[in-house]
Amino acid sequence: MDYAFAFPLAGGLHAWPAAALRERAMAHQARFEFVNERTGRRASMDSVLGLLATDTRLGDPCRILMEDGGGDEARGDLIAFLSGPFLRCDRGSAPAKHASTVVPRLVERSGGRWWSGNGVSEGIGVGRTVVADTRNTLPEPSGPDGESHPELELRVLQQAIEGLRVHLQEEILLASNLAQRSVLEVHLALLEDASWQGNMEAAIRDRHLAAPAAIAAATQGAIDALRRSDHQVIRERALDLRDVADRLIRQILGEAPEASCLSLTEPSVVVAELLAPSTFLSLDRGLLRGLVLTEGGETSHIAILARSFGVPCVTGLQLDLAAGQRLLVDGGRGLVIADPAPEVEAYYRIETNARHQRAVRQTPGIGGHLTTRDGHPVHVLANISTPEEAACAFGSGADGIGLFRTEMLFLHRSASPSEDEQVQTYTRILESAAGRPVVLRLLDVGGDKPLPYLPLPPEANPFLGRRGVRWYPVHRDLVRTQVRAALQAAVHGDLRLLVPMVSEREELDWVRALVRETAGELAAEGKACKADLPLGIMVEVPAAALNLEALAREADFLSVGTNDLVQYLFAADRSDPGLMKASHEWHPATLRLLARIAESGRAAGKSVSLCGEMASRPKLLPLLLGLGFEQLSVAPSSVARIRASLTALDAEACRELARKALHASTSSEVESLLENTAQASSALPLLDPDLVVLDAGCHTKEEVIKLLVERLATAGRTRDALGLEEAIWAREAAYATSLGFGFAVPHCKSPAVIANSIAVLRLAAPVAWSAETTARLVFLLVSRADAEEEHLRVFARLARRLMDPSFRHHLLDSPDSGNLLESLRSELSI
Amino acid sequence: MKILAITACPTGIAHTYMAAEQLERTGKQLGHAIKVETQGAMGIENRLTEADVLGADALILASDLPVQGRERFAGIPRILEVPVQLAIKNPAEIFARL
Repeated sequence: MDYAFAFPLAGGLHAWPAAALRERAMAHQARFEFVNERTGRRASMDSVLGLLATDTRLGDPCRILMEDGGGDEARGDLIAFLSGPFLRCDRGSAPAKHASTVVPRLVERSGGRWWSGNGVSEGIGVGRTVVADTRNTLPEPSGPDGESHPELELRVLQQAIEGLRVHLQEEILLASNLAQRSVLEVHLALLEDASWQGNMEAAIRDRHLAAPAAIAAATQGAIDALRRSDHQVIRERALDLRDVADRLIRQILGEAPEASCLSLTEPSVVVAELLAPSTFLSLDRGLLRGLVLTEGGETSHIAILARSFGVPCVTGLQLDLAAGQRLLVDGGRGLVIADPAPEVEAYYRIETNARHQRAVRQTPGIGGHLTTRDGHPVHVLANISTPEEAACAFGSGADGIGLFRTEMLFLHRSASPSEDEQVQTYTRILESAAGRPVVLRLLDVGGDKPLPYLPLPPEANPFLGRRGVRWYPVHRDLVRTQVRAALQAAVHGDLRLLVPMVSEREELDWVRALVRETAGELAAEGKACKADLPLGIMVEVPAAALNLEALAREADFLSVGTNDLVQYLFAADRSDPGLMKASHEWHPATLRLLARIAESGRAAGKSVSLCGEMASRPKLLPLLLGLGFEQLSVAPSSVARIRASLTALDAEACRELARKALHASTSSEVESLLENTAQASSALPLLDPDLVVLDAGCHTKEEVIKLLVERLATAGRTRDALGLEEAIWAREAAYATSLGFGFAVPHCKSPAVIANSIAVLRLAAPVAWSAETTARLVFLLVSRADAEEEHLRVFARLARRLMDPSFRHHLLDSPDSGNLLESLRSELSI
Repeated sequence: MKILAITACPTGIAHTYMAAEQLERTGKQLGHAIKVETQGAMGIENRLTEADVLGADALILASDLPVQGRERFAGIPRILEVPVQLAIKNPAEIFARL
């Protein structure tokens, strides 16, 4: 085999894709070699390190060579993988970036020290400096051992690798989020790297080194190769390699993990040249307020982990700081401030308080029944893969688990999970659900998700192949064990079973018979179990959707998997960016099919929920609700947002919107319907009691503007608070907007504005606005880039009225905000 | 005197109108006939016409950027350019300079 292709991933061949490629290649007997024609480097595909060292970038001409004995199946499988799932390996989200001029000016005025680095994880944290010496953790490779026993050392090495493998596998299972799991999976793939292990063994055998020294020597060589890459992402993997090597050595020496040297005792900011992912994961995150590192780009694992745990992180700084010094880390702007002055902390306090307030607002009525604005009941459920995600979902107010993907339990291991292990995992989730429903999807693996212990023949087109329920009869034991575990765990709560990829009634009948038989077995064995679990079908094959009346009679509930349904409806592979269009989701064809599904469910009296990307898009919520989907299942991190969005909708208006959308003929027609609806709902009034602050205790102009901007953000009137703040300051830079009568009118026109607004702040004591002027009453006027003339006219009227001394006195003397708002409304004829 | 004025500021949503208001108020107080054109975010309003220009004694340009249609005022004997802020903070001084 010789397969040539242009490297398709924008981030280059970094660790995640390399680990995925290796895993796929290892599923076959044949040996593969990866060749990069641009760099001239080649690597055996069983080695992640080798693959990284090929220094492969987007567009590089590459070839994959298959050595003898593979056959067409292996070739077909690898090509299908490269043109499908591989394209999705390029994960890692980049944080938003904001240059700041406001903060440095404020800090400089107060005479403090600050540094500007790369903000790689946003958020604000204040704590005492803890300096971590993490540079030279890898021991120097020592010389040959005088009385070496290579055989013994090889055994020691193998035991250490095996021990660490077990640790990593446990950590992967217990990972609290996807980022942590992905990083640990890369570490596991590095540990299993054939070329690295080979070099360690060679160092023991040929150079007579002791196992720790051999690990150090082999690692140094590999690190040097990685560091030669001109690809930042690949250079960054050197740290991961060292992390794994370090843990391996400690495993041999029987030492505690290095993290024990870094125990935090008070709110802390950790300052280090670099930080190993395992060290980060072992820090007490209850006390960790921020990270300041010399090394680590946006794509480094430490940055990805910091973002996933919400720890502010700034990199690219080499600071010589004393332990115990107070530090403020502003990850959003990439700033680190030493011994922040009271006015700087006051400024940041406004931002943290407002963020906190917004977070609370985003979780309306946890525990209560969720309704739309007009009182129509709705339910937000969560899609999860692990017990940790379930806990997170319920913490955000989820009404249940709409989709528990069980595949995670089965992947990345050499044998399938035992019945007991499955019972334990399912029970944990049911316990955290505390009576709320949990929908467990039976195993959905197939050609696109191979399991090492489950030989599935490679298919030319896995997405049209033996997926989900289609291979249950072939691997009956695996499914039977899962059903046994589910029936036993079900005594702990409200568990329901969901069958994936159903297209015909016989498939559902088969599973129902299996459940009945299994329940009988368990009863005969005297095991506690629940026999009558509701059995639902995943509606994701168009044939099922179009014959749903018949299927719905047999099923107890329906769950629509829109990701696959849309892919099959349009015959467009959703992993191919050239084919997949987000607009397929709101294409009239999709909407008509969804309307039909909802109607079939209603007619059969069965509940219908919808899981899939569509449910997480706020702009599509009015459509889904209007089509009749009152139960949406979304990622745990989206639960709060979707709950908040649903409560703001009007069910009757949504039905009207859906009626119109069903008559549209293109996606763009539907899109403009959606936009018109969105615009109507964003028609907020210019003035609002939430935008009036009286007798505020601000001491600086920066605090005043910050406070007003945060009010706008909390009221949902800006999509980018920092951007808006900078736009206002850019206007102030032309000349200060003070009028000279104790009044100031900062203003701007900016795309960051969602709704034109007037925000008012009256100060307890005047603050300096320019070198010569002060302000006691501040009007902030913000306008959208495309502001309606009606609003601009109000701004102009306000500007003119402020020139009237008696109006100004009236505003300054208003006894309360209601009175002030009333006089504004009447003067401006709003 | 018959006085004309144009006000304009960078964003065109506040200072333009404040300056216009101040010039109108002060002009009237001082007994002048005054008309102020605003060039703001809503475009040109209260436009100065050929009839307005005819027989005008002075033109005040209270603006931080070049005004539009300046060629309309070629015949006016006295043209005074000031920052928009001065019109807001001390309009009387502008009239004193005429």
